[in-house]
Amino acid sequence: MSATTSNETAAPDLSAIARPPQVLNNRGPLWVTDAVCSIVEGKTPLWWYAAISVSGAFAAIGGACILYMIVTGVGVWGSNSPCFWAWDITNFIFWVSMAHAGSLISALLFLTRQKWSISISRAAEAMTVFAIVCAGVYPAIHIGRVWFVWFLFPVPNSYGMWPNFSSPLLWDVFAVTSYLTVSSLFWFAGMIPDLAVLRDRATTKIRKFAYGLVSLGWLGTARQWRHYEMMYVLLAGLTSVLVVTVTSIVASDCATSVVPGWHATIFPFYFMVGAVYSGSATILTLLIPLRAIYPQLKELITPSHLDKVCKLLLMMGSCVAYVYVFELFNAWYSANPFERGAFWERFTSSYSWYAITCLSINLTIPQLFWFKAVRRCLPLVVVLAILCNVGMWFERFMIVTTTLTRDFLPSSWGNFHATIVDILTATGTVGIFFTLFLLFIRFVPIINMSELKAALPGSQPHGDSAHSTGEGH
Amino acid sequence: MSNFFPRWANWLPLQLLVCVLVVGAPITLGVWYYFTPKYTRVGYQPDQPVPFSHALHVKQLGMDCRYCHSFVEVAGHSNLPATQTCINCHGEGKILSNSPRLAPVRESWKTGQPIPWVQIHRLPDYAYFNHAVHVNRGVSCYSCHGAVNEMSVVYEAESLSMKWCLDCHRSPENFLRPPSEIFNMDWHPSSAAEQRELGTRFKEEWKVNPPVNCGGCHR
Amino acid sequence: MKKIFQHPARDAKPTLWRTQGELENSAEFNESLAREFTDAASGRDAGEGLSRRDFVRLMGAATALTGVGLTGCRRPEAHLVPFAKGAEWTVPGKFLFYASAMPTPAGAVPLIVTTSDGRPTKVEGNPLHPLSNGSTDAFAQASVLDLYDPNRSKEIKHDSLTVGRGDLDNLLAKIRATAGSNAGDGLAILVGRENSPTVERLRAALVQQFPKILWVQDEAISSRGAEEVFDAMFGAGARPACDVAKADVILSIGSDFLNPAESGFGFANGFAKRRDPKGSMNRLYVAENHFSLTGGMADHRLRVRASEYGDFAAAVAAAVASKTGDAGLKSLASAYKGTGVTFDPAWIKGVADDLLSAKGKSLVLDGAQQPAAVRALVIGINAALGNLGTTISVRQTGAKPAAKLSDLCAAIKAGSVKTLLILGGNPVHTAPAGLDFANLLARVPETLHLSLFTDETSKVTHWQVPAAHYLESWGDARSLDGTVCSVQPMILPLWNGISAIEILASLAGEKIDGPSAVRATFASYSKDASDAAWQTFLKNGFAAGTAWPLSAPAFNQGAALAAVQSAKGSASGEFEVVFLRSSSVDDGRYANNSWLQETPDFVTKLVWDNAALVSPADAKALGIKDGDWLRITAGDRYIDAAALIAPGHADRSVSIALGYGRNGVSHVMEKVGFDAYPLRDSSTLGYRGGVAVKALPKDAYVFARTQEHENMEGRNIAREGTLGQFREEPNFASEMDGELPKPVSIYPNPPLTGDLQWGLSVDLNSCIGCNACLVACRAENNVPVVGKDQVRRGRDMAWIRIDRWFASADHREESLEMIPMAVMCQQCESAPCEAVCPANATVHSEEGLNLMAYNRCIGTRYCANNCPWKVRRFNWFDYNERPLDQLYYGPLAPKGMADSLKMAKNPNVTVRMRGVMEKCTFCIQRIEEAKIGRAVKAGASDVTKTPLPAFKSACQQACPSEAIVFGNINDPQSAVSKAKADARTYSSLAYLNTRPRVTYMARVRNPNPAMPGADLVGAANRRNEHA
Repeated sequence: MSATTSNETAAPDLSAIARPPQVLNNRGPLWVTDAVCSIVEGKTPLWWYAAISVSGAFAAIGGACILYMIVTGVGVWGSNSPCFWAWDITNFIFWVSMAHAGSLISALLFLTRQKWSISISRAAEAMTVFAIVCAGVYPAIHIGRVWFVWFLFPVPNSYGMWPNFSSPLLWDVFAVTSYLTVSSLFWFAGMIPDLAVLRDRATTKIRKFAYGLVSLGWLGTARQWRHYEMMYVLLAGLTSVLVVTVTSIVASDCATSVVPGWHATIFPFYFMVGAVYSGSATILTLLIPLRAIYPQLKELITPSHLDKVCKLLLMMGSCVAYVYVFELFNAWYSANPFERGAFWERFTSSYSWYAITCLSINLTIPQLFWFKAVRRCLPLVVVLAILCNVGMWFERFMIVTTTLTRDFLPSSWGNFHATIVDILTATGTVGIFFTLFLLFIRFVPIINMSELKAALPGSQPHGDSAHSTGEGH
Repeated sequence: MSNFFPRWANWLPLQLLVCVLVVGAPITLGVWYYFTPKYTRVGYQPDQPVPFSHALHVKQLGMDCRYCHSFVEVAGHSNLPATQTCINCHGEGKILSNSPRLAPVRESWKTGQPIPWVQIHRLPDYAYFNHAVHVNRGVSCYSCHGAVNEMSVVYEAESLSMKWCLDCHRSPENFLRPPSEIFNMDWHPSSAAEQRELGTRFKEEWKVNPPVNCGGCHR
Repeated sequence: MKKIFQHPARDAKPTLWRTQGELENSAEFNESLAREFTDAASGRDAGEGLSRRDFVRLMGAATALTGVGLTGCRRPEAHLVPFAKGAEWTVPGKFLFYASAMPTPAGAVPLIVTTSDGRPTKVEGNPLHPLSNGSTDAFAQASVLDLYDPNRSKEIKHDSLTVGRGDLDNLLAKIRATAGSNAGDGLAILVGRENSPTVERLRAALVQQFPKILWVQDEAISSRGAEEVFDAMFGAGARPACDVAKADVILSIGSDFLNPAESGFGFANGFAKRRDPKGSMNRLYVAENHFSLTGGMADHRLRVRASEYGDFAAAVAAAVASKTGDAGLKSLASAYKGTGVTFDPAWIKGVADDLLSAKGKSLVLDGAQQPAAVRALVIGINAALGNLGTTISVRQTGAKPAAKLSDLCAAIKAGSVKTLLILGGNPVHTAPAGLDFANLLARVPETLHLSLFTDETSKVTHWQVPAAHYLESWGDARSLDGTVCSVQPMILPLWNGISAIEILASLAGEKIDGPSAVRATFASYSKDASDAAWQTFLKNGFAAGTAWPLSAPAFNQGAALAAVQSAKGSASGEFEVVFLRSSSVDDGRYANNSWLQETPDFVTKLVWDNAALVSPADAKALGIKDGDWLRITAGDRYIDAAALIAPGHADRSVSIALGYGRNGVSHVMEKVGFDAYPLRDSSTLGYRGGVAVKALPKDAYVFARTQEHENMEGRNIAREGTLGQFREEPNFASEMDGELPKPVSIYPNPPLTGDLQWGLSVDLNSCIGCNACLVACRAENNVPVVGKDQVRRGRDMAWIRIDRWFASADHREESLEMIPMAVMCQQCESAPCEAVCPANATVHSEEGLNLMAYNRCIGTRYCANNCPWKVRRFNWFDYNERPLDQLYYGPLAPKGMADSLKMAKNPNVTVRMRGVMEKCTFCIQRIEEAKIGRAVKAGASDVTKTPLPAFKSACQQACPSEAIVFGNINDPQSAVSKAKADARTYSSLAYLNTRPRVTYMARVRNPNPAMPGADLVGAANRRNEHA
C-alpha cells in the first residue's frame, strides 16, 4: 500500500533516469530459471545434430591434416624462406586475440559492477575458452620436432641446461597455458550455482549424477555464497590482469623482433584493441542467432545489451583504426628505409590486396555503429560483425606473413602460397570452435542465472521493491 | 534439494592432495632416476666375443693403456687394438697360443676378419668427443671410464650424460691430474682439498678453459 | 645403487665388416667393398673406423638420453670393429690427404684430396702447384659426388646383356689381333681433350703398331677453331699463355676468361691481384652478348651480339691502326667481311686509346669458341700493341694434331670404320647436329662406349663399359701450363670402373698393374725416373719443370690475313643464338650431379634448368614474360625453350646453355631444361646467326631461381664506388651508413673472452661470383639438395649464397652493372636469432661464433624470421632421408639415402634431420679440430702461447680469387684483421647494430673518364647515399 504512494511521487523522474532493465517484461527469477534451463533440458533439436556433424567433420579433417603434418614435416604447409611463419601463427594470433574479449567483458565488467554484461558474460567466457583451445593448437604443432616440445619447459634434465627465458616464445607457452587454466576456472566457477540448479531440476538419474558431479555439491548456503563470491572476485581480478599480460606477451613475439613492420612498441596495445574488437564481434555473431533460435533469450539478452556490445565494438574498432594510421605515420616519421619499405611493400607488393581488404573493412565497418539504426538492426549487425572478424583475420595475416615476405635484403624476398593443408587445418580450428560451442549450448546454462537473478529488481532485500511485480510480491 | 555428495566428500580435496603427494612424488622421483642415463647407462656390461680382462692385463701385468689403445694421445677416437696387437703376445708358440678362449683372436688373425667387440661407451653421434685433447690436458682415463684396471669385464662406470660432461667442463679443477698420472688408474688425490689445489694450479698454468657452449661438442 | 646387468647374449654370428683399408695397395679392400655397403645399409654405428654421422638414427639415442629408453630395452647393440692388421698411415678417425688432379679439357685442376677412413670426402686445391693458389672451382668440388653417384653405370654390357670383365678383355684382345693383322685399318678411337701424357704415349704406341688407326679427339665445347689459327701462325701445337696479372688494360671480346671452367686456372687470381685500389689497378673493358662473370667485373661493358664480335674487333683494330699507322693491322681490319654493323665511335676510340696508352701492358682476349677470323684480328691487335711476348706468350705443346669428329663421321660414311672405341665424351648428345652422328654410329659394326653414366651414347653402342672416376683410377694430366699432374686413386673402383688408360694400354699390349702405365710415361719425360722421384711426383701431385716452354711469338701477317679473309659476311638483321657453357653442368657432363644442378647460374640464379636468355627489349618486342615459350628455328631444325629475361643482354640475340634437356637418361636430369645441341653445326659451334625466334602460345614454364629480386631498392647492401672516389674518400663505403643509432642492446651481450675471435671478410672487388664457395660449403657441411620444386618454394638449403645485384644509375641497359655478393651467416655479436630461440639451441660462443646446436633445435623457426640476412635454412622435410620426388608422401615414401651417398658425407659434421634449423658456423668442425690440435700440442703448458695450426674455412679455401678471408681477428697480423682494417670495409645493415663478424670490402671500379657513360660507372649506390 505504501508502494502505491511512492509510485505516484517517484514514478515519472525515476523512469527517466532508470537503467534499462536486465530482463524485459518484468520477468521474475523463476521465469528466468525456466527460460534458461529449458534450453538444456528440452529435447535435442534436429538443427543441433546437423550443425555439430558439420563442425565435427571439419574438426576431424583439421586433426587429420595436423597428423599428416607432424609425420611428414612442416613443409606440407606453404611456409618457406622468408615466410617461416605464415598461417600457423596468423591463426594462432587470430584465435588468441578473439579469446580476450570474453574474459575482458565478463571479468572487467564484473569488477566494475557493469550489470548489463551479466546476460552475455557466460557465452563470452565460453567463447574465450574455446578460442584459446583453437589458438593452443598451433603453437603446439607448428614446430619442426613436436616430440621435443618439452625442451620448452623448465624441468630438470640430464642436459644440465634450461630454456631461454629471454625468448618471447617461451613466455607465449606460459602465458597461453595459464590463460587457458584461469579463464576456464573462471568460466567453470561462474557456472557452479547454475549447474546445481540443473542438478536439482534434473529428472533422469544420469543427468542428476552428471550435474551433481560438476556442481561440486553446491547447496547455496550463505557460507558457500560468501566463499564463492570471494573466489569469483579473485578469479575475475586474475583474469582481467591476464587478459592484458597475455596479449602483450603474444604481441612481443612481433615487437621484440627486428623485422621491419614488427619491431614497434605499439604492438601490445595494437593486439589488445584488436583482440577486444574481434572478440566483441564474435559475441555478436554468436548471440544474435542464438536469440533467434531460442526466443525466450530475446527477453534476457535485450537489444540494449547488444547495443552496448556494438558500442564496445565501435570503440575498439576506432582504436584499431588509430593504430593503423599511427603505424603508417611511424614508418614515415622513422625515416628508416627498411621501415618505410616494409609498409610501402605492404600496400604495393603482390600482397597488397590483403592489406587493402583489411584496412577497408576495419576502417569503415565499425564506424557504421555510430548509427543507432545500424546497431538496432540485428541481422545487419551479424553480417557486419562477421565482416569485422574477416577483416581481423586479414589484419593478422598482413602483420605476420606479408611483413615477412619483404624484409631487409630484397635478394631474400619471396612470396607465400597457402597449401590445401594450411587451409584445412585452419577450417579445422573453426570446426573445433563451433563443435565446442554447440556442446556448450546443449549441456550448460548459457546465461549466468544466479547473477542475473541477483540483479533482478526486488531481488535485493533493501532495494526498491516498488517496481517489482509478479513473483516479487 | 538433494545433495549428490555425501558428507565425507568434504574431506575429498584433502585426501586427494595427500594421495598425490604419497603416490605422485615417488612416481616422479622414480621416473627421474630410472629413466635418466645415470641409471640407463651406468653398469652396462655386455659380454664380449673375447673374455679379455683388463684386471689381469693392467692390474696384474701392469700393461699401459696405450699399448693397445695406441692412438688415444693423437686421435679423437681411442682406437681398439688390431688383432695384430693381441697376436704380438698370443701368437703361435707364445702365451696361451692355443687357449680356447682366444680362439676368436686366432680366427680373426687367420681370416683377416676383425673381432666384433661390443661397444659400451657410446655417445650420440651429434656429440663429438675427442680423446686426444682430454688425455693431453690432464684428464685421466679414470675420470670417464672408472677403474677399468679393476674390471675383469668392462662396464660403463659413468652416465656420460651432457650434464655429467658439463660438471667437469664447468669446473675442471675438480678432475685435472698431473700429466704423469693420466694413465695411472690407481692415482687418487689424498684429499678433495689437494685435488682442488692441484687442479686449480694446472688450470691456471695450462690455461685450461674447456668449452661450455654447444660448439665445443656439437657441430 | 649401481646395478651391474648383463646385456642379452649376442646372436650367434654377428655381421662383420671392416673399415676401408689404406689406398690401392690394401688387398682385402676390394672384396670388403660389398660388405662396406651392407654395413652402410645396416645403419649401425660404424664403429671406430667408419664414423659416419647419421642424424636420424641418433634421434633414437637422443630419446634414450632424454629418458624414454628403459634399461630393459637398451639402445641396439653396436660393434666396434678394429682392423685385423693395422693399415699403414691410417689413424682411425683422422683424415689422410693425397695429392691428385682432376683432368678437364681446360687443363687439370691440381688437388689435395681429403680421405677419411679410405673414403675421399672433399677436394681442395694444391697450393704447391705453380698455377694453383690452393683454390678450386665448383666442378672440382662437386666431382666427389659424381664418384659416389648411385646412378653411375655399374656393369659391362654387351648388346644390353651384362657380361664380365673377361669378355671385355677378350674383345680388346680380338681388336688388337685384327688391328695387328690389318695395321689398325678400320679401328677408330675417340677420346676427349683432357691432356694426359700417358694417353698421348699410348696413342703414339698404338699409331706406331697400327699405322692406319684413326685417332679422334673431340670436346663439345672447345677452342679448336682458334687453335688452328695459332697452329698456322706460331707453328703446330702452339697455345696462348696469357698473363692477366701483367696487364694494365684488358679488353675482352666475348671472352669469359674469369670463369675457370672456361679458361683454366690462374686468370681469376691474377686478375684479382690487380684490383686492389691501393695498388696499380687494372681496367677491364668487356664486349659481350650476355652477362658473364667477366662482364660483371667490367669497368666498361658494351652489349655486342656474338655474331658482331668480329666487327667489334675489326673496329678496334682500325682505331688502333689509325693511331699507330700500322698498315698490317689496317689491312686486317679492312679485310674482315662482317655484318657491317657500326659501334659507338666514342666507345671504340676510348678503348683503342686506353689500350695504346698501355702498350705492351695491355691484353685483348676473345672467346674460345669464336671463328678463326676473330681470333686472328685479336692477335693482330695484340701484336700491334706489342703484347706478344709480354702479356701474351706462346707455349709450344708439341701436341700432334688429331682427327676431328667431322673426319670420323666422314670415315664412317665412307664405311672405313669397323670398330669405334669412344673413350671420352657423349657424342650422340653433344655432336653438332649437322653431322647426324647418332645415325652414323649405328652403321659401325662394333662400337664401345666408356662412360661414368649410361648416357645417350652408351644406349646405342654395342658395348657399354663403366668408366673409373678420376678419384678411383691411376692417371696423369697436364694443367693449363703443361705441368704434369699425377692422378691417384683414393679408393678402389666402387663399381669396377675401368679407365681409358687401361683400355688403351691393353690395346697397345701393355700389361696393366696399378700405376705401371703412368709410371712408364713418367720415366719418358722425367729426367730422374727413380723411385724417389716417382714418390715425390705422387707426393707433390705434379712433376716440377714439366711445363711447356714459353716463347715470345712472332706475328705472322700472312696467316692472320688468310684467317681473317676466311670470314664470310652475313646480314646483321635477324636473330642469333649463342651456345653457352653451363655454369652448372658444363657441356652436359655434370648433368647427373645434383649438387651442381642445384647450384644457381652465375647470373640468372636459375637452378635445375637452363633458359633461352633474351634482352628486355627483345622480350617486349616478342611480347613475352619470364617462362614464356620461344621457338628458335635455325635452318631446318628448331628447339622450343622457355625464355628468361636477362638484363644486360644484347638485343636480337638469344643465349642458351648447353647440356640440358636430356630426358630418359637418369631421373636426376629428367625434365631439366632444354637441349640446345640440335641447333649446332660444326661451323657454328659458338653461336649461330640467321635464326628465327617466335613466341609460342603455351602455358608459361615454371623456373626455380634462388634470387627473384635483383634490385637493391635503394638500400646500400652491396656498395661500390670509383677509383677516383676511393682516392679522395677511402672509406666512402662506411660513410654510406650516414648517422648510425647508438650501440645499445637490452640483451646482455655474450662475453667475448676467448683468446681466439673469429671473423671473415669478403672483398667485393675480387669476388667474381663463381659459385666455388657455394659448392665447397655444400660438400664440407653435408648440405642437402632439395630439388627444383622445393627451391621454387623458397626452400633452398645452401648455407652460403651469392646475391647478384643489378644496378644502373640511369635505369638504362647500357649502364647496367652487376655486383655479386657472397652472403653467409654474419655471426652477429649481438645476434637477433639468439635472443628469440626458446630452446637455447642457438647461442653465442666466447669466440664470437653464433652457434647452432641441431640436436637442441625444435624448429620454431623464430630465429630465421628474426635474421635480417635470411641465412638460416630450415629442414622442411627429411631431405637427407626421403626421395626428393616423394617428400610429400611422408612415412609412405621409402626412407634412407643411397649407401654410396652416405660415404660422401663429412664425418665431422652432423647430418641434420627434418624439423631443425641449420646455418653456417664458419666451419666450426675445422675450428674445433684446429683448437684441439693446438691444445694437444700444448699439453701441460699454456695453450694460449701455442700457435694455432693453420686452417681455412671451406669457402675461403675454394675461392679462386681469394676474395674470402677468414681467421682470428684478435691477431692483428692475421690476414682477416688486415682486411677488416682496410678503408673499404663496411658491414651490411650496420644500422641494426648487430655487429656482424662478417664484413664486406666495397667494390671499386676503375672507369676511364674518356669513355661514354663513364660517370655512371660504380654508381650502384648513387641515388641513395644515406639510405
